[in-house]
Amino acid sequence: MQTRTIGTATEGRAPLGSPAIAVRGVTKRFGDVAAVEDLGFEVRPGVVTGFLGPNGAGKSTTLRIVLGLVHPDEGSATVLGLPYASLPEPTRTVGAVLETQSFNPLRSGRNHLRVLATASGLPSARVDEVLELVGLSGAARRRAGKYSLGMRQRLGLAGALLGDPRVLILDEPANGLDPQGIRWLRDFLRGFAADGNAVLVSSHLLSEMAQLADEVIVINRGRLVKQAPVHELANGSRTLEDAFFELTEEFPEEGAR
Amino acid sequence: MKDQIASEIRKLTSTRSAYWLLAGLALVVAFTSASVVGADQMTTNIDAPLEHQPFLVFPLTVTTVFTMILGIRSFTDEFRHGSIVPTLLASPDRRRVLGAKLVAVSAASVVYAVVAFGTALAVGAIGLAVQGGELSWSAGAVAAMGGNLVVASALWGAIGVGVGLAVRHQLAAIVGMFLWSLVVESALGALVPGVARYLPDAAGSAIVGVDAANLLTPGFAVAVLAGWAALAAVVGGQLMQRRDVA
Repeated sequence: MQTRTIGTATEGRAPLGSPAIAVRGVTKRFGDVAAVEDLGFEVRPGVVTGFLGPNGAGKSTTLRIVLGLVHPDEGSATVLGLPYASLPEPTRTVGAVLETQSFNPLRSGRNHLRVLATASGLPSARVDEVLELVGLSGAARRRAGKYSLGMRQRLGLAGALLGDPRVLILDEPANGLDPQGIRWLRDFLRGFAADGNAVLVSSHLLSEMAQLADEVIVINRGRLVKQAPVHELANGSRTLEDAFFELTEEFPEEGAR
Repeated sequence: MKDQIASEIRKLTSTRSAYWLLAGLALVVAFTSASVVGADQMTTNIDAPLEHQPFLVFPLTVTTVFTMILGIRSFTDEFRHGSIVPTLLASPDRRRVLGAKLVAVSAASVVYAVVAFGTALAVGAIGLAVQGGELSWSAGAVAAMGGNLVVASALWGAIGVGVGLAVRHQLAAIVGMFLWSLVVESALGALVPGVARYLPDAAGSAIVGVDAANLLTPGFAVAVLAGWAALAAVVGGQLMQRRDVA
């Protein structure tokens, strides 16, 4: 990830309508278990929004509902005012990374991206641009199955950036990245948001989130607990981590003793 | 849709899997054709025209098994590796993804059929010539056999796509289809004799003209097998529309 310049052409584009992402009254049950319950929030353009919650809080389910992969039982999720499936050019609107392993391990990184670019009507030249952008050019022709975890994350990110989108949705993108990679990602996402785009990023790394996000959404057991600017939750000696544990009551008993 | 089809063809050509499967088919066909021609009882057939040569029977039956597996893998590979997620993010209309896979797999199945049939003809003809046989053929009859194999292979590829989408698990889909052919279809045929020839395996055999007794006419069999392919695609597509991709 040598390149610091953002290979997007967002400057000069029409400003994004607000909200970029809207989740309204979403409930999703798997059997008897409600993974998400009457969840609602909005993600604005121009800022990085962190998406926090303990394991099993419903973060991944929510992101998948926004991306049209999981159908909610109730409620709706829209990106730029439309359900994902109705977006006329989804890849040019939204880029998403959900899992590290979401490619055929026998296909080279470059061919994986070319498959996706072809499906979206994007030129192959764009594939080489995003490979360069995430610093994978040197390994582009190697089988993706041989990539390290960090390289897989970069490949996923390259796929998300293919269509030069206005909205990025990233599930644990820092996972497996080395310190330089994390720093590059942080700078990239902040620059991307500063250009008027929207970023929704989930992470377990609360200290990282405190540096990255302008605003956070905290959910627990499928419900919204808090949406607030980071500086409101973490100030003075109180860290985002402190706030997170208070909000999600991860260890209430221990705190009482 | 054009972009999705191009993407699916790129998927098929950008790993070695489809090539290995094709190479396996060609190898099996070459080996079997050579053994049939080399077998002793062949001496009686040595001067028969190519289209009546028994070494063509095996490729006619085995090719559709390979294209069915190719079809099954089209979706099950994506579920197995999770690449279904970026696929659906790029093309959220799931029916369109299904349609593109049907087209791409059918096209690849045509290649499989042509390679298998060509390999059998070439190996068999060489074998006959080596044994001093008088090579003769009716170009029309040979072309018709090849054409029928192409049609049956493409339809079986399409059936595989639908089954793979409905079942999602690769091994389960492949084993299930073998069980269908070997057990369910013959059991159904024995229980309800009238329907036997309308079942997919029998219809496929009728198209390529193997065991032609008691089977449908080839033209009608194409319609019947196309019906099965459509059914598989509709069932797979309907399940996919409703399903969550986790």
